[in-house]
Order: sequence, then C-alpha cells, then structure tokens
Amino acid sequence: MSATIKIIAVQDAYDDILQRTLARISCDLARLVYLASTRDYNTGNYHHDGLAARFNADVARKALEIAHRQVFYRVSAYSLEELSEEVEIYLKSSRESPLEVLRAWQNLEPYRIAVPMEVNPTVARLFLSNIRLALAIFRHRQQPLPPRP
Amino acid sequence: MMGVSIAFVISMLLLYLLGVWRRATVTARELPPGGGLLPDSAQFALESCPAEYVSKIFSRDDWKFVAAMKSPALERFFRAERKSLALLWVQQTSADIQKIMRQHAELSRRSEDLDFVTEMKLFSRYAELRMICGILVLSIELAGPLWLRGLALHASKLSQRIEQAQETLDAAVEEAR
Repeated sequence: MSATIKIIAVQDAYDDILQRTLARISCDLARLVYLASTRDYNTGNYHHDGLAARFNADVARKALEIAHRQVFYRVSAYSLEELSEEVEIYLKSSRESPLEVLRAWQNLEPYRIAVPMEVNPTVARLFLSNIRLALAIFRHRQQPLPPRP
Repeated sequence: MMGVSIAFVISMLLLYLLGVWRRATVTARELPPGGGLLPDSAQFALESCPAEYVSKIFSRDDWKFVAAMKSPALERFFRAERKSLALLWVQQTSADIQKIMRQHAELSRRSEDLDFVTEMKLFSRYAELRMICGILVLSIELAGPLWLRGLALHASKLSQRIEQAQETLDAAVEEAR
C-alpha cells in the first residue's frame, strides 16, 4: 500500500470510529477510557475487530492510536471545572454505584492506563494530577452539608 | 558589630535558600531515567511541553474554582499537586535543554560554516533559560506556582526557540553531508 493511499485509509478509518463509535459515548473521559481499552496491555498495539474488518488491522491500529492521542490532549487541556463535570458524568453513567467506582478509581488509579504511549510527559502528569483533583472534588461534593446551627 | 549581624543574616538566608533548593529537587525527582535506560521512543520527552499546557499548570483559574468550594483540604491538595507538577516541568525543561545544548555542541564541532552571532544568541538564550529555571524553582518552592505564569511562559518560549535553532542546525548539517 503506497504512503498516500495509507494516509487516506487511516483518515477514513479515523472518521469511521469517530462517527460510529465515539459519537455515541457520553463524554470525552469515557471516550478516552474506551480508546485506551482497545490497546493491548502487553504490546501497546490497538485492535478493533469491526474497524479491522472494514479496513485492515494496520490501518485500524493507526486510526485508533491517533484518536486516542487526540482525545487525550483534548481532555488534558480541560479546565479543572470542565474535567470535574466530565468525571461526574462518567461516574454517574457507570452501571455500578458512582461511589463504588470513585473508591476504585481513587485506590487503584486505573485512569493511569488512559495515557497514550507517546505523549509529552508533563502533559501526562498534568492529566493524572487533574483526574486526582477532579475525583477529590467529586468526593467532596458527595459529602452531606453540615447541619445548620 | 553591625557588619557581623548582616553577615549572619545573609549566611542564614543563603542556607535557607539552599535548603529550599534541595527540597525542590527532591520533590521533582520523578523525571524518567536517562542514560539509555528508556526505549528509543522516549525521545518524545525532548519535545518541550506545549505552551497551552504550561499555562494551565501556572494558571489561577483552576485555583479560583477550587477556592470557591471552601474546603481547606481540597485547597491544600490542589496546591501540593500544582507545586509538584510545576517543579517537575521546570526540572524537565532544564534537563531537556541541557541535552539539546550537548547535542548542539556536538553538531557545531562538525559544522563548517558556523555563524558566530547566531551561536552567541543561542548561548545567551540558554544562559537566560537556566537562570529563569533556577528562579522558578526557588519561587515555586517559596510561594507556589500560581503567581509565575508570565515567567513560566517566557521560559517555555525560550526553550522552544532553542529547540528550533537546534533543529535548523541539524537540518543544515544533514544537508551538507
């Protein structure tokens, strides 16, 4: 496959994943977690059966990698207020109790695997730090208000 | 007697600043290991952090949002997170720029048509950036990063200029081969 044809194919695959899959996900944080979940933990390669069948495994891998990095940089650029809203939408859209998910996210920090492989290390740290803060803010908001005197 | 007191105050101040500096370097010791301990793809670490994100680390907007929640625990947590992040960025920038200057010195030795003025400009930018990094580390440690956005953005711009100059020289050496 020539380089130009491959670039066009990757662009088509990228548009496809944007329209068919990512558009149906409720928020950017959930999109990020979804895209990270298409990556193999051991090899770091991305895989998506439907996309690979429509294009090919190589093109699908590249399209997923680009989509992952783009969503990651977008989420990392969010203000803390915006990210707190994202975290709230994400936790409340889970099938489990939001407080259960919150507990797991604060203890196990599974959001660490949402960081793509080749991104600027400072941006990666900013993302992780902001998620930690947004989770603490969510927990703070769940606490009942002190009784009025 | 007066002279002795002043000398004592100055030496105490210097000792305090030295302590602050040492604490800052310990706080920011989360840099990835160098010296070939990471795979080749770790070269992306040499690209400086985009200014948009540097601005976020030092911005007061997030602080205003956290302060509005009136929770001392959240405020402490926010300040600690931003401080450690800011120190990490300064140390990362300083380490990257030293690496770039080492590469530049190597390339300069091989280059046949070096421009003295350009080289001097590059060196003065490097010296300025190292000095700003030192000031930033001390100021972050003493007052936190939320007052230093302008200086941090200036450092970010300088670092990008040095990076670009290195890339230009790199391309020129490649072309001459």
